[in-house]
Amino acid sequence: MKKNGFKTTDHERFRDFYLTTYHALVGFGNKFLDDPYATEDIVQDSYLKLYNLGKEFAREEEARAWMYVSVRNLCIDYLRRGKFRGGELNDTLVSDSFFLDEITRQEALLALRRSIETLPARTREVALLTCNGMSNNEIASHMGLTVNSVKTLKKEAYKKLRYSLGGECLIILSFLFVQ
Amino acid sequence: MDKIIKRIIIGELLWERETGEITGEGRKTLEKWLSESPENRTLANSISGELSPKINFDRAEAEKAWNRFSMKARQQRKLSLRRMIIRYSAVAALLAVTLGIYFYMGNPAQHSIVAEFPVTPAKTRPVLVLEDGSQIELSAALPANAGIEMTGSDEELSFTVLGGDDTAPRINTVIVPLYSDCRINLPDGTTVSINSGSRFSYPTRFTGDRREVWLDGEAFFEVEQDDEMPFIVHFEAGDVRVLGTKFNVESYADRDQARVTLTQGAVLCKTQTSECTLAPGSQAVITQGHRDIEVVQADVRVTTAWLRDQFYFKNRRLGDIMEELSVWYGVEVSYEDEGLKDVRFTVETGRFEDLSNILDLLAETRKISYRKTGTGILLSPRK
Repeated sequence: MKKNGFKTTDHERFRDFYLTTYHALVGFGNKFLDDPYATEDIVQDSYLKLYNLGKEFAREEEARAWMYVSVRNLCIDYLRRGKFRGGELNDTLVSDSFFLDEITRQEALLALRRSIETLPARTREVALLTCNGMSNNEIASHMGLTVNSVKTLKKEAYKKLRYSLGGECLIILSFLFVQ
Repeated sequence: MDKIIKRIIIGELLWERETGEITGEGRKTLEKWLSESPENRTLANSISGELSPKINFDRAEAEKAWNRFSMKARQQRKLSLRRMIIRYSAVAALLAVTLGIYFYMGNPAQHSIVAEFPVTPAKTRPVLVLEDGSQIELSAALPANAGIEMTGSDEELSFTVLGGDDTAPRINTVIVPLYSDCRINLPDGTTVSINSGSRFSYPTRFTGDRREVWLDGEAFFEVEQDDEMPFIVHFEAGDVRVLGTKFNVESYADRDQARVTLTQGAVLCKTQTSECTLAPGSQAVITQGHRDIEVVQADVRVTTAWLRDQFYFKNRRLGDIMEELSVWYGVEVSYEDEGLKDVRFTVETGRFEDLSNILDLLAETRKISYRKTGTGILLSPRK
């Protein structure tokens, strides 16, 4: 992960930043709106604002923080304007603790997503196909690999991700090993 | 702000604790935060329960959103640039009047020096981006991991994908900058000529039951026939499926129309909502925001002019012609009379030639005259 400065005018860096944070911000905004389409627009607008700021952040985390604040404010505005029919603006939604807790949640998920993305391409593909419920044989023919190499890649994925046992992860584990 | 940064760090630590990668320092920070309140513990537990690999990590979805974003950002910049040009032309007009008075007052024989604009584009080189993100300039000397080698002379910029080994295919991308073009020969015998300002992604080897490639920009495909494995070109607005044929795809993310033109064979052109089959000489036009594909007759010579390194405008509005030229030559174009934009011209000329060549051709029609100004060129009606 890049911890150094972040200039919003650096197009390639901005693209990286966008692709790593996109799902986290949509997930975050959706906790306020429970409306994926409206959330996506708001997230998009926030990125545009950040892009046009032409600012240099000392750390990338500061840019992430900036985005969370922006998305939250736009979501709350949106709710205030009453465009939202499915729910209402309540005290919980505007509280600081809700805001901070959701950031914590999204950042943990973002770190997980990044772990998956930094897996070597084939290992990642095997992990993702496994999650989609494909069998070893199916994965092997889909990727043009032997069943044995699929098994090896699965082990590699498990070693790198080391999911804790519990809930859905247990199911994934069994996919990784039992087959 | 500090509170937010703190939570960003805590979030990362929660995941690191899950994988066992957490360091002593991190563990201390996390323990301290957990002990601060029972609410923190509850939150940490609920988050741990959600850390399943089934969370949404569809990178393609993020990439699509990014494409929409960059399109919007570019449109905004274009608008603000246009505003700036209007502002500067007002200043320039005022300056012109002042200078006019100055010269009229009978000052000595001085001539204003007009800045020269870049007139002859220098050819640049395409870049290959490997799946791991490393970038290599395409030239005769390419490392083995590029999986591609130059075939033909340095001038032609023609490359062949080796595709020999039996490792899993990797997706590589060729970025062709402005003032460049190149040809990629894929392992199945298909040839792809890629136009300036485009990105083209391909697998190092075709496997499975289809041959898939991705394009942002313009390219001409000569697809090798393989009835078992259809060839599919994906672009922003849709995709084209073929068995073996020749066709041109023009789909730049920052333009509102995408065009697929068929020169030989048959193709199936699909968007999310509709599809059509093209016959040779016809062109599918997909306009942003419209659901249907419009099929028109195309002049193949015009569509493929870029393959011959030519500009070929056939009965086109001056406004449209100059818009393309201004991007290519990087100059601003202004009009003394906006009505000029609707005058139609037919021009065919080399695109690596001096801009003044084209302007001279246009001026020869005696309909317009042009003048270099500080920032670009000014077109005026010929009196």
